[in-house]
Amino acid sequence: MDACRSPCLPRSLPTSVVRLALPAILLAAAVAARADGPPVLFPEPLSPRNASYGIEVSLDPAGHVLSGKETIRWRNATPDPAPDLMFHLYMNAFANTDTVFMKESGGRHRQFRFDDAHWGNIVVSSLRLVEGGREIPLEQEFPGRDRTVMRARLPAPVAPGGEIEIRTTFEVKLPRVFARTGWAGRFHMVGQWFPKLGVWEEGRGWNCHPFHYASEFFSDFGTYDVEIDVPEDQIVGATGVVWSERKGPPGRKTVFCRAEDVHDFAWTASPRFVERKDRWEGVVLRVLMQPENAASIPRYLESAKRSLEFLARTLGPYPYTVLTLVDPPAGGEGAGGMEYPTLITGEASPLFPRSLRIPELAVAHEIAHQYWYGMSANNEFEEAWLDEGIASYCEMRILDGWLGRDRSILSGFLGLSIGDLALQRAAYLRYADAAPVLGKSWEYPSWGAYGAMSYDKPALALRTLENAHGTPAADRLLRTFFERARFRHPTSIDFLEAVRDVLGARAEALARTLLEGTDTVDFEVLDVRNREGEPLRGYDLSKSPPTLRAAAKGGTKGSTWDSEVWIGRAGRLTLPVTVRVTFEDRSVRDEEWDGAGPPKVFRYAGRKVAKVAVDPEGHVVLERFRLNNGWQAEEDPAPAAKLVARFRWILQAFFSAVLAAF
Amino acid sequence: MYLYAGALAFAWLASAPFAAAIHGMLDGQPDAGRTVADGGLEVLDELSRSGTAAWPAVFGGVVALVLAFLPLGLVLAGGAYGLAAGRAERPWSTFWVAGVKRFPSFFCRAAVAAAYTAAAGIVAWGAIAGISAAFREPSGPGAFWTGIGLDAAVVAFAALHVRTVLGFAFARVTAKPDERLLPGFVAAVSLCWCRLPATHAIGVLFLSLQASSALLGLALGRTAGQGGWISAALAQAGWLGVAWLRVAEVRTRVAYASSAPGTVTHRREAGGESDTLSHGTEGPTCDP
Repeated sequence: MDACRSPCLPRSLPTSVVRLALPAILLAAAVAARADGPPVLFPEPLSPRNASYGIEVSLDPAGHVLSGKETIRWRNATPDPAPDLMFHLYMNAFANTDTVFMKESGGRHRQFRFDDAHWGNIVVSSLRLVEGGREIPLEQEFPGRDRTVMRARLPAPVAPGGEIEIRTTFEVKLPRVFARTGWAGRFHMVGQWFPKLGVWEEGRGWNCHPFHYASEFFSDFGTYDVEIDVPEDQIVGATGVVWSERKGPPGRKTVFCRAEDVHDFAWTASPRFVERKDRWEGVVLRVLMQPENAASIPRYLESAKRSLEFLARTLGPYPYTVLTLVDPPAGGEGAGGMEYPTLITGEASPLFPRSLRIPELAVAHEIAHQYWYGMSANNEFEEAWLDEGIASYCEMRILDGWLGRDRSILSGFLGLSIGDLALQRAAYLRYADAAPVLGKSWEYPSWGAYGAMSYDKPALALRTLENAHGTPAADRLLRTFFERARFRHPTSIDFLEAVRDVLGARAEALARTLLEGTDTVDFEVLDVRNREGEPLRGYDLSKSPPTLRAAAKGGTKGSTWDSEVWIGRAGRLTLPVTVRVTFEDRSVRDEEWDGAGPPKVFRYAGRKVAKVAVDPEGHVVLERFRLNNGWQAEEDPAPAAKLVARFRWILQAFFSAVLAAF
Repeated sequence: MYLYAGALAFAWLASAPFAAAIHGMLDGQPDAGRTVADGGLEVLDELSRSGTAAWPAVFGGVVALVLAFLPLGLVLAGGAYGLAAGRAERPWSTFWVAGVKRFPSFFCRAAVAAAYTAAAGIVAWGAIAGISAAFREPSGPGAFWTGIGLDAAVVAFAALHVRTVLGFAFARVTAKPDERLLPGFVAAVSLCWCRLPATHAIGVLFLSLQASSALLGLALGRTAGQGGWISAALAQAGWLGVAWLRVAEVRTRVAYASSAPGTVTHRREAGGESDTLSHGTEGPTCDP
């Protein structure tokens, strides 16, 4: 049971107003709800709500089978009449070896292998249009071999603004946990489980792709009223609020859930969950943890609070009243690290040391998705970067600000540290020129390329814009884009327009280059020339008439220096960069180079260069190699010696162990 | 001291290409101090991306030297056994002569022991796979830890078993020189299983040796980022201590083998040089 059994308040209202008006609002909301019906969560809809679902579902935990009845109310929100309906039947991706998903994935998702002893599928046993109190059967068609997409032709097109009601009954066989959904032991993660409409787009028709390996989802906003019938011992977590729980037939119970202004519904059930509740500024944080991972509950909660804090401050309030954090068990890790509206799954293990921040990372990333995916509902099939990339950037900001930029993922474990930025940079650089960011998810040449281009490069591109324009400007960009995208289906074009409006045309051009191209950049100190200055000999042309000057006796060679610093750029990506030049007298000068054109030469008369550092602050995060960015007149062996000593100690330990074994 | 020096020398040799590459990359970089603050992950990442030739050039030599160290390790171990057999007046020559003399025998027994270890490892792996499959679907709050505990128990058992047999395979070097390989190995195994308390006591000494080695490595790993001469000196003192423990283990094993009824007696040759351990006529027995 959830905290929000009573009518819940929209969090978009100012806190002071909520406090003052609390009794009245509660009363009004109670009146708005039927006596025994679901509560009204948002008196004023936040989204178009053109695809709403009412579902009754029953779980057979022994057979891992769901039996469901579904009522869909869909409104055509475009000016184009819709002659048919297209549904996603995602669960059929796991039906056999011949599906698009299985062929593309080879039965692997992330590092997890599909258990081919436990296939899954969904069968729609009836599909009817409700019209004038009658139910008209609709014929199911499957365009293509893959039955993850179903079409139903309508007796008459749905006119613009028109509404229809569809009823289905369906049965789902869940696979063993794979690609975010399924069962593991007594744990059930029920995602992508019900017949779900695609998105009817103006001028384009139905956007309803098969379930691809490297892809997530896309759907319209609406309300969800879901009644989940489960054995009595099950603890249930779900999208939205659990507003009631009633006893059913012996040994069973029904859990009533409602969600508003969301575009998906997922739920989980397990008798083993350890439940913990906390609050962040009125939002109920409900953690459903595996008992063996209970020690990680504070890690989940801390990360959740810090993430919500950052996102609310940067983008705007989290409008929902609850956020459920689900922890999958060992053997069900394939369900981990996933976002659904108001419900996320994390990743924890008793074997993770405190210094390895995987739980914090997973929670931060998935909570960032509550904004970028949950509310800004882009098409994840076609422009995955819009949620994954921006969520990755937000995750980086959250973790950097909390745990430190250089140690936000691994902090001092065996003397090793790494930050989220470095990790994303390493991931991107392995596929830097494999594909552009803009592309359909299934068109990337590999899973690694999909990840690098959907997650890492966009995050680094945003960091590049932040470094160029400052953090406040980057925050303004995010907020502007979010406000425009909130409860809509934004596209990359919308993002670029926001960049232009907030940061200017040059920033937009750069962003476009980074999204559309595969160009890379690598700066290098090509040469540093310190020449001893000599007194002028020959004719001094500054005099009139020119006078002949002879060499001074004894000479003054070495008393002055003329210096040149040559900086080169490999790759076609043009990015401005700072070159920090330190002179022998310890004075420092920062030179700016726009990064364009042939090698850049900085010349200094009367000064000797001691050190040169290209991009000393590490602002060009997309750069391929950084270890050729510097030069210094006096070499310093100390840093390398530390690394070599570490490596030597490892070898000595190994050799000593060999001797001990002999 | 020989054991310590051998490990140290090979560590220096094997790390030479790495050292050259890293110094070449970092010494001229003003930003190098910040770069290595993460323990070298960024450097390794750049190295791995900096071309196909760089990585093998830096790390290829390590593999070769590790392979070369294995036979040298056998010689060093043989030398340790030779010195442990008695008081040598010329320890330097005694160590090396004993090591070289014992090498063929050690090598053959190491091969048999390796085959046995592989077999035991496969059995242990199978057991762990079975346990993991059985606990794949957790059915109770303690299932996860029960699975982990059983896996750990299998690993510990396999390690102890393998080590015990390995240890006595080498202890048997001190037995009959004309003994055939496999019968001698079988006899060693039977001896170790007949004398469980003593062999396990030696096993505990061995495990403590490995644990101290691992702890030292761990401690060094945590402090290596700070560097400095003091930590380097402490590290080397630690390795010396590990080598000393190793010698103590060898002495214990030899002493135990010598005390087994009818097994081993020490023979000192002219000039005081310790040759090999001699032995009685019955060979090792399983008498309790």
